[in-house]
Amino acid sequence: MNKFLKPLLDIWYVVSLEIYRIFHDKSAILIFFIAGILYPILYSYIYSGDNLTDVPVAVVDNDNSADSKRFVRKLDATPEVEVAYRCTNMDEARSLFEKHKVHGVLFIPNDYNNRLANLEQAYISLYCDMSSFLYYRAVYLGTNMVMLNDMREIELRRYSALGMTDGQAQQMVQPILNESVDIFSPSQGFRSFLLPIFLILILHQTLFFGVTALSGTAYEDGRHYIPTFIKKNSIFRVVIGRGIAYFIIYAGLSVYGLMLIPHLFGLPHEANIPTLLGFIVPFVLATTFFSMTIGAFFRSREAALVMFPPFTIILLFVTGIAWPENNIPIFWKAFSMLFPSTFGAQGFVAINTMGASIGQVAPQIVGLWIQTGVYFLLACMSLRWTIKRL
Amino acid sequence: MIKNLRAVVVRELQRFFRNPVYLISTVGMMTLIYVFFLTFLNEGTPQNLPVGVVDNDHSTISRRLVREINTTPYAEIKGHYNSFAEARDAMQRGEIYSFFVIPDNFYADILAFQQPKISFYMNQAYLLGGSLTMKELTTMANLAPAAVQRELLRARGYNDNTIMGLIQPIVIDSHLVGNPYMNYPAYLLTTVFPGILGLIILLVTTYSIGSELKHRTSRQWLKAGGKSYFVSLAGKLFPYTLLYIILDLVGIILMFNLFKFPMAGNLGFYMVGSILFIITMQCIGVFFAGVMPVISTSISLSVLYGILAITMSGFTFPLEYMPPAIRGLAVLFPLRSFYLFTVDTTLLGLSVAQTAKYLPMIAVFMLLPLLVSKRLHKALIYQNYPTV
Repeated sequence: MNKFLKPLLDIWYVVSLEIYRIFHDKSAILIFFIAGILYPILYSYIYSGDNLTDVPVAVVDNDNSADSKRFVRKLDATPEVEVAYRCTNMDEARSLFEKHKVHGVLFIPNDYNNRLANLEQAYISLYCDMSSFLYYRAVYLGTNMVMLNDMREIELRRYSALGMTDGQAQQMVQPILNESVDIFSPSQGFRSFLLPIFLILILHQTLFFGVTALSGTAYEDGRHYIPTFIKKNSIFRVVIGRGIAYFIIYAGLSVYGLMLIPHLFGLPHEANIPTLLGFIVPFVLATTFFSMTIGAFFRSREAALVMFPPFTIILLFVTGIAWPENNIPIFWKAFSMLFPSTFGAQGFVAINTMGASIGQVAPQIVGLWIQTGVYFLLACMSLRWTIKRL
Repeated sequence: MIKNLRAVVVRELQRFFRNPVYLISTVGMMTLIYVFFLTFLNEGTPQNLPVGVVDNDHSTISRRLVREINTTPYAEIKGHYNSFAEARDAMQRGEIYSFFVIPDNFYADILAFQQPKISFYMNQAYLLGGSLTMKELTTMANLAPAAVQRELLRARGYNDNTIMGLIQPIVIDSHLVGNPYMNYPAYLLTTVFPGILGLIILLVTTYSIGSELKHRTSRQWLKAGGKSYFVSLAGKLFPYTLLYIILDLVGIILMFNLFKFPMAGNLGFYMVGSILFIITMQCIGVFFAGVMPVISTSISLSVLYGILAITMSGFTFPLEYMPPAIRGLAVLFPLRSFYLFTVDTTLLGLSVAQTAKYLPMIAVFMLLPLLVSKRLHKALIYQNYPTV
């Protein structure tokens, strides 16, 4: 046969054989297709609440003055907080707090109005539920906003009392104006933040567990990846062929998970499509060869699935998105570079959520291509090792 | 009976040490998780997060604003940019979490009472980094005018006491109940550690039972247990119970002793709850192995359930804000009750009498294996399920 055609034909055989194996393996179908398709929907649905609105708090207003009532009314009107209970004393409020009926308690002491009238500083105590960072954030933000707003109103009155005109008082209260703009993800939600990382991890982990299960099965069956009609030393052809087979499947799943899901579930989707595609290719390739490298060491189909699911949580933290990157110790930062999910999550968040261009995610894309090259060679070496072992 | 029990335990220990999967997935993984999180989150709450500034004014006051931001714990100016576009680009590259723009003529406008405006831009794609830096920048935004006000009022001849009352009439005194210093690792790890241990318990329990079916060694196992299903099962699970309790105690010592996580309540009772949780998770593992006596299916079920349990505990995203159709499912996860038990014990410091109510909600799952005992027993004898 033609010297040029034979390698291509061999690769084609491996591609077709691997796809056949995938579709005749219950675990592979379960992991690739069922988990790969259902997980993004499940998590989008679980987190569809996105923002915490109207977090219930209890108020103990010992002052019961016009000033304190105005503060409570404004607090109730914030999107973050709802004044669900008005208690007569702190014991009552504490009991509600301990029963998880409220996630914050606002205590206004009985000298509140007097202190304000005497131009002194008046104090309000706020007790925050720390059982979830999001409760704390909502209750703290809501109260702080009301405090700033009410403060301006009180200041205006005071400056007027000191004999300033309205215009002067206004300038005195706010010599500098400020505005906050949330430029990339206007909804500010927890889901918009977490889901893009989850989508990458779902692809990374299902591909990893699927490939390792298939590799383990091959070992159990006493087979290896060199079909008999291919020469024993054609390791490259086998690794390329298997890589293409997984690439075909995961290109599809990536388009589903990274392009369709953000649109369907109203997640941020600012991606420039050619940029996103230019990112998906090295991400899927790097993950494929990474999984094939590790997969060669498993002697049974379920071994990886027993050992590594908890590792997913480590992958989530080293992305540098869930936990700020410059607070990651140097050792773990180096460690994170071993996994395609790290560059994957960083690149995808930049492209999908912030609309980054290919130049802006160049470090991540280069990182993924380097991983693709390194893991391709390692996958070849680990396959050679497996063949010798059999 | 004791003799048979001992025989099964000895047999299981041999299996444990012969197959590296057991040691790696229990001691190995849990050690990695402890070492990882306690070194990774070493610094507690993140510090000195990078923010940027576009200073179009270059005045003494704008420079002072930049210096003051550097003195805050969470934010540090990492980049000076010439334009909004440049700063936005740096943000898209992930170099800064937020930035602010000081307009030109800023100082002159303040002096002329023109109310110049500072604009803050944050990036919520990085929730923690974005929130913390934004908190610092908005605080600065409200303090900076205060400094200006103070100068203006002094010029008008008011004394400092009156000035404080004038510029900050209301002070909010925040109490973070149970976690006064906002110890982020304490909040995170008191649920992540048990959640991961629970996942490991499920995986290893279904694996240890499933592999007997897969390799057709289940009759040999029953024989060692004197043909008693109960003795065989107890003997198999018992060595793991001890191992998990040791792994859990290591975690408790690390968290509450070494790293001084808040523990407002009774530590002894917390340990009782932890041990109950461990045995409960083993029982759920037996249940999964019995429902689907095929190893790959029962393990897949364990992964799905164990990972979902961490989400459904509600410690990151609160349960009340999940869709109603999902919220109810939380009762299926003992980690949910264990999380509430942990909050009430460690943060609120509630008494044993007040937190005891969670224990039956955890323990009730121990009844699950009874539902499948007949089915699993038969599977062990007849080996009538496929091996893969």
